[in-house]
Amino acid sequence: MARFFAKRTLTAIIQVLIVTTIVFFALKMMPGDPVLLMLSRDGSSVDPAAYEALAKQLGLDKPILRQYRNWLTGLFTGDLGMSYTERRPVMDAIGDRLPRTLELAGASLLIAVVIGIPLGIAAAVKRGSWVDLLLTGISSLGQSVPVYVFGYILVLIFALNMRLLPSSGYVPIHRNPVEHFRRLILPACTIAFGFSASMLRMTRSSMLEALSSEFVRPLYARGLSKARVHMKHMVRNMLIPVVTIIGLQLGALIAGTVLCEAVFNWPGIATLLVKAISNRDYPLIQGCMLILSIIFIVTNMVVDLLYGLLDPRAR
Amino acid sequence: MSGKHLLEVKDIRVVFPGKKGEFAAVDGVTFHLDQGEILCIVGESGSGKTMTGLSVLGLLPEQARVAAGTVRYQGRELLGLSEQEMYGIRGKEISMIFQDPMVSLDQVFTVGSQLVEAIRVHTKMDKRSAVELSLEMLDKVRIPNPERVFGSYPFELSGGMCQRVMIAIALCCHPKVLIADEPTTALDATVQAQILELLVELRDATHIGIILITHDLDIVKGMADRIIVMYAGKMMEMGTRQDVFSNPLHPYTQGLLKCVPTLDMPEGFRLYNIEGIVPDIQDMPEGCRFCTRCPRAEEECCIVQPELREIAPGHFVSCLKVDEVSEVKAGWAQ
Ligand SMILES: Nc1ncnc2c1ncn2[C@@H]1O[C@H](COP(=O)(O)OP(=O)(O)O)[C@@H](O)[C@H]1O
Ligand SMILES: [Mg+2]
Repeated sequence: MARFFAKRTLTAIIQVLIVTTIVFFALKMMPGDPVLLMLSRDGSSVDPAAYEALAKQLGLDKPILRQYRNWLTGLFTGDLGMSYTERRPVMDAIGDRLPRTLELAGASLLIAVVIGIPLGIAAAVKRGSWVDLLLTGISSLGQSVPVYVFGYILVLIFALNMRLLPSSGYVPIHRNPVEHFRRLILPACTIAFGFSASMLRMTRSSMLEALSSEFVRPLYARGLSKARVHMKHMVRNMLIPVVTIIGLQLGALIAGTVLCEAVFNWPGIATLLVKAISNRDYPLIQGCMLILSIIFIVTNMVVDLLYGLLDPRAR
Repeated sequence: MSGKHLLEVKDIRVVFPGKKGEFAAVDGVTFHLDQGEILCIVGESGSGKTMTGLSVLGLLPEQARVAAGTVRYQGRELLGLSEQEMYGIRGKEISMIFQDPMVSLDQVFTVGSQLVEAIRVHTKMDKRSAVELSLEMLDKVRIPNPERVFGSYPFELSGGMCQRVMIAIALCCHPKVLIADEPTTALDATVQAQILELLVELRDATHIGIILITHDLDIVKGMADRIIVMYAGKMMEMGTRQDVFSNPLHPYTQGLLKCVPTLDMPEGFRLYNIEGIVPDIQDMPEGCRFCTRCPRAEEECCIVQPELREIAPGHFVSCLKVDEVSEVKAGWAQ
């Protein structure tokens, strides 16, 4: 287990380095000049002396490989540089935004698991019944409706029409916890809808596979009840593939969060990244990408470990 | 058959939905089992042996249905019982082990936890005593180092070990009947012999009644007390080992016995093979199901269904020509 963990950590570090390196050079190839953008928002002409001074201050006058080396040294000393537009360390900006994104993604995942897995089990156990048809019908809808469409539908119904919940925005939890969670509900449900739909389908099909395995009849032959066979043995076998697929879908979850933050004006890391890209705020973009890839790789690692715990054959 | 037997199965008929309405995969199977007895059911694959066994425990596939018959255990009818009531029968009164032990255990739970679970669904035993009993059972089925196997996962064990574990689970609540469906078909020859030896040993020690399902006549010859010969869902012949091996009356049984290779057979000796193939189970002849291949079939055999008749005490045969056949057999014996 320890060796497995060490190996995974090492690959994870290499993966993060590769991702950030690609992002670094891709950024430099992107059209658009941050210095110009900072000096003249409206596209008017710029004083060459001021341009040179700012470029020098930002370190953009140095050769590109040198810039890369500086960024790497910064990375290993825990310094991601200063954001051009936020005018504060990239670390601080990310530190503000990241917890909000994690909260949104975590809440969505929780809702999706709590809804998708039990309903998937129910659909499989009652295969072919109207319950199954209804659930698989709704879930194919859930998988095909894009996040922003469903988000606006929810806003229309629950915010504009019924006036139950605010349509968008964010209130820090320490200021007003009730309002904080009221604003979390709609965006979290928006992401969870599609995600719970795919979770339902995965659960249903792996549950059906478990139910058709050879050892089911021997379990009944021992005198185990249907409830015990289903809820203990089948569920445990079903969870193994489901957990893996959830892991593979975490990328989709993060992508969903990006769109959802925009729709609901949720000030998470995705909105920060979008703003940074339009301003060519290189250090901030780099920092966000670094954090996102770390999250992605770490969650995958956790899923692998979980998989090892669930499936004795994988240990 | 008067109701004093441990298990009595009468006129069981198992049907599946087929191309042209329902077809019977098992038809009119009738037998009884007593304590301490080993009853072998033999027949080619597809002859309905497994379905016969499953119908006793109410574990038939979803599509199948018991269309007729009775299954009495200690005088109590099992076929009408609710699922709830069957939970108390399976594993506690009647147990079953299966053909492929490697896939008959839940792979993600340890052997120990599956044993403890099986014990605790039937008894109010606390966890510690259940663990103790589990270890005892593993020892009883001759597993070396029970503590290690207790904590192992099934995929870490060999096929023979898995079958021993299956037997331990099947017997942990002291059932009176064990149905063993081809328990050694998936195993190596040496392991096969060990498992069969174990079954005989356990029978001697506990007086459990065993229904041993197999297609291997060597096994039957070695350990059966009584034998049922099945063909295409029907019983052809039933009798003691002596009856069936020394005085086979049904042409099918006689054909089967000629297929068994013996050590003293001269080299190059061609094995006797029953001509033809088993007819489609969904399209059986009207009369005797064996009539298409029977060397002694006459016109009426293909029209009239033979009944299972008791020719001598305990020796049943389902053949219209049985008296003639027994004479012919006398000629073969020379
Ligand atoms: N799941 C099933 N669906 C349809 N028919 C089946 C099914 N299982 C068994 N049968 C039918 O029952 C017959 C007897 O099967 P089985 O009892 O398994 O034979 P055996 O154990 O003697 O090899 C088969 O020939 C087949 O036609
Ligand atoms: Mg079989």
